[in-house]
Amino acid sequence: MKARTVLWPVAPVILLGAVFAGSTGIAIDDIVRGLFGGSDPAAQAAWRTVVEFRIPVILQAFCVGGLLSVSGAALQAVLQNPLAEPYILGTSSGAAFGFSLAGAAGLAPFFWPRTLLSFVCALAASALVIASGWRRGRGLSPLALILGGVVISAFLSAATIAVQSLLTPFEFRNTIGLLLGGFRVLPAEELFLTLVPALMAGLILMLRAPVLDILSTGIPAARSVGLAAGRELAGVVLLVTLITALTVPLAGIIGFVGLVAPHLMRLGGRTRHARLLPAAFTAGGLMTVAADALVRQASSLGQLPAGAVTAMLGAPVFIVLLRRYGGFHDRM
Amino acid sequence: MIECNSLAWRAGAFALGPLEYGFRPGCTVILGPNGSGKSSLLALIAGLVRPDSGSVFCDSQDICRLSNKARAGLIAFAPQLLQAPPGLCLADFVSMGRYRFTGGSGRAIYENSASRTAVRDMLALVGLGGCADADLSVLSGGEQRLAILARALVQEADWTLLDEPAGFLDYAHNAVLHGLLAREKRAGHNLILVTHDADFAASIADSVICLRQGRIIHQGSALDAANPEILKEVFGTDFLRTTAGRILQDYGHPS
Repeated sequence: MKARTVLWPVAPVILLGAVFAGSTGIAIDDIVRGLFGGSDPAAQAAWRTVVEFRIPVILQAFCVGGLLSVSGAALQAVLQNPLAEPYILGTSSGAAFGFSLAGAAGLAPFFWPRTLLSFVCALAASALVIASGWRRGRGLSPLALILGGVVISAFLSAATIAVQSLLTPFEFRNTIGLLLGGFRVLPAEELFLTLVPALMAGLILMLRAPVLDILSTGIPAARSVGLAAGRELAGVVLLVTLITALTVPLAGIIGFVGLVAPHLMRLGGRTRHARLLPAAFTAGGLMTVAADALVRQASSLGQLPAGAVTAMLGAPVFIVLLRRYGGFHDRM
Repeated sequence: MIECNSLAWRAGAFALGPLEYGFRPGCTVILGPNGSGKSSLLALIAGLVRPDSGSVFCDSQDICRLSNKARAGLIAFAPQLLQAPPGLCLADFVSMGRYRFTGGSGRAIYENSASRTAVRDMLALVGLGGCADADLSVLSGGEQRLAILARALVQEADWTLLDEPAGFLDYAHNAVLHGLLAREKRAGHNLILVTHDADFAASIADSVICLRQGRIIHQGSALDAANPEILKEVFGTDFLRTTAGRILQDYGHPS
């Protein structure tokens, strides 16, 4: 059975569950009465909470998780590395560092300058990691790439903490919220400015799906069949970096979704990217919504970021994949 | 005609060339021991590796200055090893050889009817028509080799470059390979093959070049690939020619 057929029954359960999950306990019957236009104060209040707080956060978590998952799947193809994703490759840490620099420079209220700074730092991090994995005449070394990503990511996370603790004004975002991301209600304008270009970048990746199929057989093979492989690789890295640079300032770093969701969707048979990417988007979105709902339900235990949940669930999966694919000679 | 002009390439302690050679239409075999630079030379001719100095010209065009698409029309390349992620199916993999005809997002390699026909016919020709939908990673080593060959041939380039095409093949698959190569020759397609198998070279070549330690030490016809003296010079070990003209390694002890 294909793993993606599981999405259909799971999706409504997670989405409905996420509507009812929350720190302010709202009775289900209040929400239902609100939905059908109940006029009593309890129903009105419940309905307003759902529409003004929960649904925007769920939508946001779904889009961010879906985009991270698509980014991971695309990177895994173009780098021929099953462990690649924006978090592991240091792109997310680069974006977080750029965002905290923008905060330190007083640019936090300005959308375009701070997004540009996140993008530049995320791109520098991606480029540095890819360069550290590149071996002349032999192409990309899978393990060198991952090790480069881990080291750069650790460095940039430390640098982010340094910038935030030394330079950033008190009222700016807290460090934990940036390094272990989560979702909160944001102004509609900010959501629009962030998610529309990010979703467009994700859509472009989906439209280039057959190119990802070709790139997944290796750069030399892709070039020999006539694909401008270097340009396509750079294009995919740019799109993924753009998605990361847009979503990290919004939600912080949500790790491992880009790793786990595409691999779940690959279970159970052959997959062209034209089918894989939409499935990975849905799976990544649902996983992130579920993590966020879990966090909201459990927040009586303290402020647990959604990124902590995805990291705690994702890290063991990474180890399993590393044991399966990370041999000395295996390329995939 | 593919011309190598003062072609030189170096990786660590290994140096290839400088080489001077013109590949004539027909089938040329590059023969030599392991590590003599055969595969490096093939990758240079395919334009996949940039030379340190010198150049490769195909039909008077510098292959390093051609676009990938233009080069793919001149030269198809079948590497030694398959690289494919789990989950990629045989027919999709072979379809990638059609990319030069469609370009763009590549959607057409799966959907375009010319492409589908070419892929189906080629799979039937290599005897893999029955496993078009199979996951590449579960196919045997020999079947994967034939898949690589099929991808290179559906590209319908002027020249097809094959790196150790007979490697990993059992006798039946080897017969399929020979049949295919003979068919390509008859159809007037140009082939450049790399191998260390002298008997295979002698059976298929129009021209032979012998490589040792990155240099061409001999060039001639298929007869030279069946000459034990030349082979001893190339490989540093003894060979026998049977009365039927086949070449066997001489192990130096009675069997």
